[in-house]
Amino acid sequence: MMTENVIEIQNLNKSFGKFKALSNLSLSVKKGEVHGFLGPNGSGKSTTIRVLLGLLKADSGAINLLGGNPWKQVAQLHKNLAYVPGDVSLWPDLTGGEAIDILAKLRGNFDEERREQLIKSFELDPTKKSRTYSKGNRQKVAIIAALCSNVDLYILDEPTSGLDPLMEAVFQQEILKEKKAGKTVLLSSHIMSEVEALADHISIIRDGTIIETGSLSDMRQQSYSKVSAELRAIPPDIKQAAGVKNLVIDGNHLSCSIETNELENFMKILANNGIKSLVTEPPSLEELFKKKYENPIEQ
Amino acid sequence: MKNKFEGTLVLYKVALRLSFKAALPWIIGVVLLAVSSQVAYANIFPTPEDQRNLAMAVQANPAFSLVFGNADNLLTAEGFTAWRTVVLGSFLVSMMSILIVTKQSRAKEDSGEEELIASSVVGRYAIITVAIAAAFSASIIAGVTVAASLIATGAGVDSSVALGATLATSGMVFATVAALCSQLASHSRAATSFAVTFLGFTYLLRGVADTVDGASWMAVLSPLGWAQKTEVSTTNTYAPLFVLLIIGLIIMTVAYLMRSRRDFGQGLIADTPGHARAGRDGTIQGLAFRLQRSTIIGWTLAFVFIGATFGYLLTSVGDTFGANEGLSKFIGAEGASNINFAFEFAKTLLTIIGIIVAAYGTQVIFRLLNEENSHRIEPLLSGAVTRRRLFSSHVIIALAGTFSSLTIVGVLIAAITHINNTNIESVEVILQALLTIPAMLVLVGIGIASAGMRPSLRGIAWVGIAVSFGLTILGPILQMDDKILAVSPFWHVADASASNTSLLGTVVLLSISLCLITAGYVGYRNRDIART
Repeated sequence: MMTENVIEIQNLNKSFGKFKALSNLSLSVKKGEVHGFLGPNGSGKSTTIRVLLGLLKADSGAINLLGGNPWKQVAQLHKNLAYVPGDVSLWPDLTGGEAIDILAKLRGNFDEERREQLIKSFELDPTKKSRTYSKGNRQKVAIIAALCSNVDLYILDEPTSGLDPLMEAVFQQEILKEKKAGKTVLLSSHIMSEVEALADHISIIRDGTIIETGSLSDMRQQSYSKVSAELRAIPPDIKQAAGVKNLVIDGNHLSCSIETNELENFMKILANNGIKSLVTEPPSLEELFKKKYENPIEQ
Repeated sequence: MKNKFEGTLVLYKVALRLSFKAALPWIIGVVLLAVSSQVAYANIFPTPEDQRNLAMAVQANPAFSLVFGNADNLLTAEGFTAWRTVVLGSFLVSMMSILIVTKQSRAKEDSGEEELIASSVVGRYAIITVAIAAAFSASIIAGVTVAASLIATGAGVDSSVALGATLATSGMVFATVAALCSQLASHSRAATSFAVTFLGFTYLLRGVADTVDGASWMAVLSPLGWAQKTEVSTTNTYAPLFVLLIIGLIIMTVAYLMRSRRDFGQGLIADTPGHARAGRDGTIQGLAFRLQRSTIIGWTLAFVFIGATFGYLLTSVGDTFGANEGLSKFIGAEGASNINFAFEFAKTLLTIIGIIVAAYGTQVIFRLLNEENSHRIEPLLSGAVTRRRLFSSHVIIALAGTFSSLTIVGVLIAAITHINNTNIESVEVILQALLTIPAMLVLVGIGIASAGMRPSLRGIAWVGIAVSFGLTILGPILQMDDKILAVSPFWHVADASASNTSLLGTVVLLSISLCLITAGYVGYRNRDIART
């Protein structure tokens, strides 16, 4: 049953004292996919990742990582995964180059050529002491150390916070390379364009539990497009049209949100009433996630 | 000009509160040094004859002059206190000053805290001024506290005030030195080590001036040498302190000039590029060694110095001190015959060194916790490294470092006493040093166990060290009960000079150490790493 999934978590619970960080969290990541892991600050993303890395011990729940137990088979499993934390803290007296070597060599499966290529692509000066690096440069060190290892699974916890747009583009290219090579990526991120460009599948976490999981296009289907139109005349039954929300009528002008899968029918209604002008906006991921983050959990 | 200092007062109040906590242990240390000397004098050297013996013994042994400076007047309690406190106390207060200045100025620049402050309505000189002012305040508080406590114990007012003023002035001078180093260095740790190295150098310089014939002029090159020139308890001259204050003012002016010329976050001495590749450091043990390198080198040098000094100290002690019953009590060798008196003294010195070595081992093992708090452990453990191997990489250094340090000290003391033809058996001294290891290991074991099981309880390790130290130093004088003294693991150390010594204590100490270390490993395997 679990052969296909690289990560399979069922009913994971973890508390810190009285604070319940994760409650009955279930998450599956298929082999070869880039899985976006989203959620507001403090929702439990990093805690989940630390449990997967064997740093935190789960209170209860079944966790399968690369076919093993992340708490018990640490060294063996970690040969096959690489991790990039969101806030990289390096040894101040060591250079970036030394830090890359240490982190990558500890894992094994170290690709010298890839290391050089990545240092070049990310324009990192490996001879500088880590304390002199900016946040973005520290982030690059961790990314390079992870990507120059030949592993099956990458766990990335907000890996690009602090990177400039050019480097963000380099990062996306490199991740797509890994994806093509059949690698699996668990990507926690707040950057919607990054998730949109890379992820096939998305899970949204809130208050320590997964509230939504599915493919990007599925999620788009559940969301609303915005429509703004001027008609010859507003039909009186427009309010009753399926999937309409936030309808505002001003003379012959109307604007509303419409469920994406009802868009076609709604357009037919508009067309029958003589469209003078029409603007539609596809649902933005940003809006979608804002909605998911804000609203109380729907049953 | 005025707006360059804007915000100083507001920040000063915050800095003072933060510095107070850091300053407290140093202030307590200096007060204890002064008051214990004042109080102990009457008990240990009650008769004029004892006092003359002391003066002769001190003059006969250059090691005393090296550590404490030349003694002007050992025939009064105030003189004894001044001798013990002026140089060593100035050193402690100066150390405190340096740490406060770098912590309040340069360290904040590195952490980005100052950036936040500097962007608000704060003048360019505000932070350096606040750091210096906080260190000045702490130094003055230290001086006043020492003077007041001495007067409270009945010491002469003149010499007590002069001593307090000397300590405060030394601290203030080194605050300006640290401020200057903070401008030169490219980060706070380098700034601290520049200033501390300078302090150590000046300490050594006046030590040479005090002990080597024809080198006494060198004292004028050292601020601590000037501090000695106040001649506390004999002349109580304040002129040298004014010289020091003027020197401090000059250093401070240079520091301000440099501050106005340098860029934020940069030093006048720039960081040099390092290696692009890790080489041998690219293993978990190599990394641990690299992280602990400066700690290992610093402590090892310190123990070489301590071993050599104590070796010289022992060469004359057997002859001149043997007759003094009070001192025998002081070192816990009461009732020892003259012949093995020197060895008893060696044993006590080795116990004190053993406790210092334990502090070294504990510091090494707690570095692992600092790494964890700085979130540098997660990337390692997300590699193919077991927790056991990571834990071991630091435990190995703690054990190897402490074992070798005690051995180095033992061998040095043995060698130096041997060269000087004392009646101490070299083999017995080395053996005694080795027998001290199990007791030291118990204290390090507490550190290992707490680091592995419950880092929030790590303070217990320092309490253990402090209790052992207190019992070793004060226990015999206060004539404490054996049951209380037995709390210290060092009480159970076997005597290498005894003909039929029992090794039961040694076996028990080793077993306890082993249990503690095992507990550390089991705890580290099973606890959450980096919970926050």
